[in-house]
Amino acid sequence: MSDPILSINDLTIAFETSEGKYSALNGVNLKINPSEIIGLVGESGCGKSSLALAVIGLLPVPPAKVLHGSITFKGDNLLKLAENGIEKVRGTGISMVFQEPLTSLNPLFTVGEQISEAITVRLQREGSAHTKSSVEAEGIAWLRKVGIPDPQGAFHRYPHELSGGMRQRVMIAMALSASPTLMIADEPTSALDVTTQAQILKLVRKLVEEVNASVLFISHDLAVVAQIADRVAVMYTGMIVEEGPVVEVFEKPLHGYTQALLGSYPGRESSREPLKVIPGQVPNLTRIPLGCPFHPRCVRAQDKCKTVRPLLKEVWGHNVACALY
Amino acid sequence: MGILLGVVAILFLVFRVVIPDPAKVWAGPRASQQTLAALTLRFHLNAPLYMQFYYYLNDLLHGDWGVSPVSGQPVFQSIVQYFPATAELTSAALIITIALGMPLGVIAATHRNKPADHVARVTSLAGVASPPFLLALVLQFVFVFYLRAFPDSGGRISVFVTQPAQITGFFTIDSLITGNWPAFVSSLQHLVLPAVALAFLTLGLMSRLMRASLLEALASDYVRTAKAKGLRKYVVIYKHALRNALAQPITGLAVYVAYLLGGSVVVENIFSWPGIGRYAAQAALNFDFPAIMGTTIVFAVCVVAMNLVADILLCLIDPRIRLG
Amino acid sequence: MTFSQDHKDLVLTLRIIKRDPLAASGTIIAIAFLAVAAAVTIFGNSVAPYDPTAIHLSLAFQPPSFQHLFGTDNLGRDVFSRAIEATPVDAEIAFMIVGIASLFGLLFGSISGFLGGYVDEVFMRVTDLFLAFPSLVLAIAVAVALGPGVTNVILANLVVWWPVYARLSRAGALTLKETQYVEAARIAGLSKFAVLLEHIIPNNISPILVYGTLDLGNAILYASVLSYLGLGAQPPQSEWGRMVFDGQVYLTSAWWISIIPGLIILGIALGFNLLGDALRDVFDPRYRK
Repeated sequence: MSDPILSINDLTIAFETSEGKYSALNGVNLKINPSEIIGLVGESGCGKSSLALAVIGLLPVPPAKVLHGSITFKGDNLLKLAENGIEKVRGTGISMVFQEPLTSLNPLFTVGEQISEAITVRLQREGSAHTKSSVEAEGIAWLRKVGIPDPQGAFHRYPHELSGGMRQRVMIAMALSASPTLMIADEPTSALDVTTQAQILKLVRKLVEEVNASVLFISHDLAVVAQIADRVAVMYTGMIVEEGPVVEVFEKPLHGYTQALLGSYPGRESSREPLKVIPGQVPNLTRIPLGCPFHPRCVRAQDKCKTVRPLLKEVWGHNVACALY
Repeated sequence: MGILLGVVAILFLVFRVVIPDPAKVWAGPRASQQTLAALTLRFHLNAPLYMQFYYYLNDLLHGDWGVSPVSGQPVFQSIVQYFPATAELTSAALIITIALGMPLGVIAATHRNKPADHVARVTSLAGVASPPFLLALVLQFVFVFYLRAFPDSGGRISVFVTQPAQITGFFTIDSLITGNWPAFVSSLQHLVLPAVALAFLTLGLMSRLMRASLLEALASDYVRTAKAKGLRKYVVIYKHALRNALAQPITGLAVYVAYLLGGSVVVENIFSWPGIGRYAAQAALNFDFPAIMGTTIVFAVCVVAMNLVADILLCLIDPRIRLG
Repeated sequence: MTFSQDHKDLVLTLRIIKRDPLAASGTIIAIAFLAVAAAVTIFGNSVAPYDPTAIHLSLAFQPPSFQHLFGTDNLGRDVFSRAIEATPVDAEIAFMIVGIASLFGLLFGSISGFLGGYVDEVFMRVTDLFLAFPSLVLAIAVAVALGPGVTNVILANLVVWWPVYARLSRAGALTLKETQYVEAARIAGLSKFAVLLEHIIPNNISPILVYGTLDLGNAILYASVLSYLGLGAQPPQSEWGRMVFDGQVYLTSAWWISIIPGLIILGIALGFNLLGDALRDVFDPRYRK
């Protein structure tokens, strides 16, 4: 097994707000290996997006503060890099696809201009010679690869002239054309309809294999992750509570939260029974419970869960942060 | 087009219908009974409203804007005569607004909360809160009287220099075109102080708007994407964010012209600049209503025209808007 | 808005004012202005150190000193006292303009935005027409037509002042129209009129108040220009703009006669601007620390 390309160790980040200190990430531990697709699931507000932004260095740092931990990418601790250091990692090292394709593309520039930017960055860093037409040709080729009909025409169009699905394909093309080692996809299909969703997922799987990139695929939708990921990590209140190969985690969930998540998923029970809802509420991130953060809502909670914060440890093939094992 | 008609209609309503005794207003405070009677006849003030409106429009379009009881000159002629001077001054002030105001706003946004930002914001604040006469008087006092850095003679050009041939009506441009160097220098010298005084307000507004607009753009999703692609910081700011941030200032330009025209009434008077603004100021001081009416109409037309220009500019930079 | 929300906003405002020196100075200036205006209104000219109307030709053209803080003018009158005497005039003008215009604009805009459709179209066309004029010039024109005097200055400015409030209220009404409690009220059977009265208009008041505070500064600026042009209060009543105009002639020999009243106007306008900015930071939903 080769070295992981990305290693997040005990990452703890808090936001200072007028309402108090808001713990976005609490000791996140995660490793991403080469050429693998790892899904990151959790409810809204559990810190998935914060984690993604932290990795690519786009967390707004005055309100956010790194309290502890490191993010190691190809030997460098990304948190210790200066602004131009991180700039060099973005694009060709780590690239990102965002959730909202309409607002994530600049409305005043054509699709072609924007994808050319990504390609040019890569070519400049590689030191390869390039001309406007060679970049354009490559851009059009990428648009074709992501399945956009009439890629030549699309190249010269503006974002608002394309549909949501098309725009998301453009975003993926932009992210992959830079030949990244790691592509982070933050809820890339959440804004799309189910059919387009399936198409995009298939596309990502295929292209990622071609380009030999790893993907950190973030979603609140378990079904989507099940379709695309090799491994999955489950996140709750800013920490990873369970992590492992996707089939194992979904078939034999060990953590109370994972079990509850899967249990509440429609379609797994007979249609006669009411939807199972996880009791309680996600805690306010300025006041995370002591011990295991999930214990107030866990059906199997015991006394020791209230005081001991469990760390990820390997149990039966995958990793779990639960005091019961 | 419809706006123009509406503008004219409003003026008609306000000044003929709402204001009591329009004849007296038109004749001026010192008019005799005969003058009043003559005016009543001439403006058909005894006719039904819709007929009055018809005559009003007719007169307007034919350039019959009344006669000033103060100067005895027909208003329309005076306005035409003074128009180029105001155009030159207002254009100069607009150039200053854009050339200084935009960069100031950009600097303030890119150096947020650092000293440069504070300086920019203080300047804007001073500009926005200043009455138009204050800076004009201060500049006159400091530069003309105290430092003797600028000429005292008032007007657009020194009396000792020959005026350039009238091509555009802008002394600065005309003298450049005709190669009349002394005229160019002199007219520029005379132009600087009033233009700066006039531009102070809009400079402040533009800089604030540019700052806010750029900050908004910098916080947008597409800027986040641009950064995520590994683009360098200054490319992100000046290529992506700035282009999007221009929309608001461009829309603001039309309003700023309105403010400049308003300010010109005071500034031209202080600097004895022979433009429509001074004409209007004198009119106000003497209760010369026809002159003021004429000024209002002409300025309103300018603002409407400027709005159109701003719309066209917006179409050019934003592909989402197409003339329709 | 509920009472507790208003209370929270007030507390937040006070916190901001205490913390931010600019906001604090703005508040102080605004309060000082109002205090002086009130004092002069109640107690008359005795509030000032000297009688502002007293002419002492022998004392003319004194530069600012300890005895005469702002110097004396061409007739030997103490400029400081004249400035104080002028305070309630502009205060009255500013409050009347902003008060009446905002009230009218509030109603006009709320009705227009809430009812929508044809009414909205027509109302907004009218508003846009008024906004097509350079406002200062139109105000001057109306003031010339009406004649000199404080009331006429107020009326003239009202004509150009109301459209902005109408626009503001309309925008507010459009947003409020879509909220759930308006929807609920309509479903509950409340008539359009009642919804307007109980939900739309009260909730539009706070943005108007915030803008109005800022606007008081603008009103003072416009009033001063009009009085500079001889359209406001007539002599012997002093008014800042008028003082600037009268003192202009003596700019080179006695700059303080015209420049100091100008600076006073700047100061007051600045105060309201800063206060208004601070208020806006509190009420702006996008306000972040």
